[in-house]
Amino acid sequence: MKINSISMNNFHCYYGDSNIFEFSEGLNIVLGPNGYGKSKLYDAFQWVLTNQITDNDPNNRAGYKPTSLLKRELISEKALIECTIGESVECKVSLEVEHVNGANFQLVRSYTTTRSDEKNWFDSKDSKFTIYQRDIIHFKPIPEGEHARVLESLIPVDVRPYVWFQGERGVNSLIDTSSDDSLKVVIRRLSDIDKWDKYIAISKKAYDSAQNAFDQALRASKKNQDKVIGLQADQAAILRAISALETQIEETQRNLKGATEKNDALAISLENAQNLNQLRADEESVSREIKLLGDEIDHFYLSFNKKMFSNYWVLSSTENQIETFEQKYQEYSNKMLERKAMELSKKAISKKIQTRLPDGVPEPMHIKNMLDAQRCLVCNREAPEGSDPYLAIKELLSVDAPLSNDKPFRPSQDPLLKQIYHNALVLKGNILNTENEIKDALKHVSELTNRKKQLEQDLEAKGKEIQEQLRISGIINPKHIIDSFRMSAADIKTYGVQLGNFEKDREIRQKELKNINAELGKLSEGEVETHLTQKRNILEDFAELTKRIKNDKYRELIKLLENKANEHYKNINEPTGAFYGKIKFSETVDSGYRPCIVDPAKGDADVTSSSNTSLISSMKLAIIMAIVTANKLRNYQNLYPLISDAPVSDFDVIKTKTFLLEASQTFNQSVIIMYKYLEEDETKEGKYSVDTEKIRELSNEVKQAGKKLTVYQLDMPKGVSNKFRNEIQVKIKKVS
Amino acid sequence: MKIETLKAFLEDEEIRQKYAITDHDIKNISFAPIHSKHFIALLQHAISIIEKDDLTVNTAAANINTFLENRLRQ
Repeated sequence: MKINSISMNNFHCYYGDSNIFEFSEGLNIVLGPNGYGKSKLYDAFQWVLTNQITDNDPNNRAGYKPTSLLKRELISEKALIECTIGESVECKVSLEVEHVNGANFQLVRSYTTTRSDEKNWFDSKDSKFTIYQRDIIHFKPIPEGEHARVLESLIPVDVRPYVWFQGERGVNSLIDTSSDDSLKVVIRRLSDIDKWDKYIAISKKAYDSAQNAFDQALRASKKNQDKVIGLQADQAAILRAISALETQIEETQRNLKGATEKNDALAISLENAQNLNQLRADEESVSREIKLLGDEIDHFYLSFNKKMFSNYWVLSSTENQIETFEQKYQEYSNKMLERKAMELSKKAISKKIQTRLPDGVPEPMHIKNMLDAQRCLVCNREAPEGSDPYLAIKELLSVDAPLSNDKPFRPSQDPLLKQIYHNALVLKGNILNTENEIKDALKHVSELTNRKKQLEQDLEAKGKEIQEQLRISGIINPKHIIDSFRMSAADIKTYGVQLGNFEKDREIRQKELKNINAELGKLSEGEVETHLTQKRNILEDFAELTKRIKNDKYRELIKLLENKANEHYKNINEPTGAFYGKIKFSETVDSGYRPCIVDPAKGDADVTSSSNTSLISSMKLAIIMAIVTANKLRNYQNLYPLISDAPVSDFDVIKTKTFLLEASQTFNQSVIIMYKYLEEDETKEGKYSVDTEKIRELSNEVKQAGKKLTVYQLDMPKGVSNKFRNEIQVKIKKVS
Repeated sequence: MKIETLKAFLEDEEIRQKYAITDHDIKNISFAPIHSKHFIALLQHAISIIEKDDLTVNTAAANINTFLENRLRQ
């Protein structure tokens, strides 16, 4: 089949009806940045043939979504917005192909929806599909009953996945480095290996019949009958034992395979799981340390408050106040002494004056003495009670004491002040250290706080790292992976030992059987017709031969596939100059094969798990190419075009070119959709131009190999951005 | 394809030794006439029968058995 063109009308971002790609034989590349319709172009190929498109939702195990679920998701949002109420809008993909027999077909699939009101639509249940075949000038529809046959003849269902695939997921589903079955499926598609199973079954059946005929004839003989019966009974018992052992071997092989696959699958995630586990342990340790630091800081502030008083920190920097107090107290004491001295002196003078002559008004004591004596002691005359002199003296008692110039009496504060001063002197020694103590304490808490902050930042960073690792690795429970890895490793060991024991037992039984058969053979001489013995022996050899041939053919095919894969692998990788090793198909416990990358410099050591994604991708693509090229008899490379979306996303510029050249050499026609050879216009956001230099270089090399290069670029009209889905309309530009 | 299958069987080293199959036998092998060597004759017949898609395992096995027995009886 050759693809002549594909046209899309309102299909996803391909708005309008002028979206046509015309492809030629050779290499066709479609260049587009992300969000410019690359995958939608691949979807168009897929949809028109299969009525479904790839679904990248990891929850969708099928990996596909049919039209019945997609419905108007298939239609351009811009076209939907422009559709008025009551009107319909249709998306359509039309693929024009040329059959290898020269017939031209047009495959047309469309889907319609009708707007019933502003928000609601009446969606068709499914798409409409028509195949037209060209008779001389016009395309004419062919009956629906013929569709499946035509599609199968254009590109068989079992071949399609190997020539049409999308991105890493598509490649991974074809070549799974963790599965032993991946190459078995490939070999089946590649060859007629399954026919050998039919040979094995028929030859075994023929041998069993011949053996029965021989046994019956031997039992019927008269000579050594008891011995024959005994040996035949032993033979039957040994055969049963061998059969049981074979069942056990098969079962153990299955278990061993399961454990090995599990172990290998886990080994890929083990490093990530161990990292994650370590990160989580670190996270917990940091959390614990933060908590301890938090407690320590809380405790510090609590004790800080206490120490304000217990350690006299509250008096910090009050040393000067003590000195001031000391000075003031000294002044106070001096003044008090001075004052006391003055008072004493005053008192002494006053006493002296009052005993000689009371000054002014006599003291009340003298007046009372005079009244008691009824005599004036000043003039020394009598003053009998009730007389005028007596009353005059008595009146003096009511006369106010003369005003004194002295201050009123106040109790002395000296003892209190003295105590305070004494206390201050005691504290002074402690106060002198408080400043340093507080400084040290604050320094310590500052260090704790900084350390805590640092750890909190570390914790946040670790949390982010864990989230990122979880996102990248897809691991949910790292501990579970580590435990499962250990368990599967233990299982491998156990099953390996069991398998060895069963195989040893089988070998012993087979030897016993051989001896019994030899003995029965001797006993049969002259007793069983020669042709029965000969027939049994020849058919036994035939049955064994069919098994050997199948294994040999299988190995041959594996070797052929491995060699072809290595040719492609070398061509893709060698020009990069980096290490690439070689592809090896390693035999597994159950005679399956698993592809891996080995390093010949290290004795073909398996380096798959440490190889980068670019190398792994190139290995898988090389195997896919080998499936096509190794199958010379089926002529896949000339019968079917390669269509691939984003196969080179892991490749650098050099490897992209070598892959494209290899694809152009391998397939008669290939359509590669990719985000390469484009340069972003720094002045206009969302605008890209084709790297013409690289395209010219590629074109020259493709031409040198006798092939043609066709290049398309996916663009957006001026002013349209892929940021707004309802505006998107992809513009197809052919690059000359 | 059938002749390739026949050659594949004949090229097996163990069978070649046991049934004295020569390079000449392999080089000149075809499906007609039926070979004088029993084992080669069996292979010729078995391949013709097995490559037919319309026979069951039991029928094909019985057919092969009868063919070989008749030939050995002669």
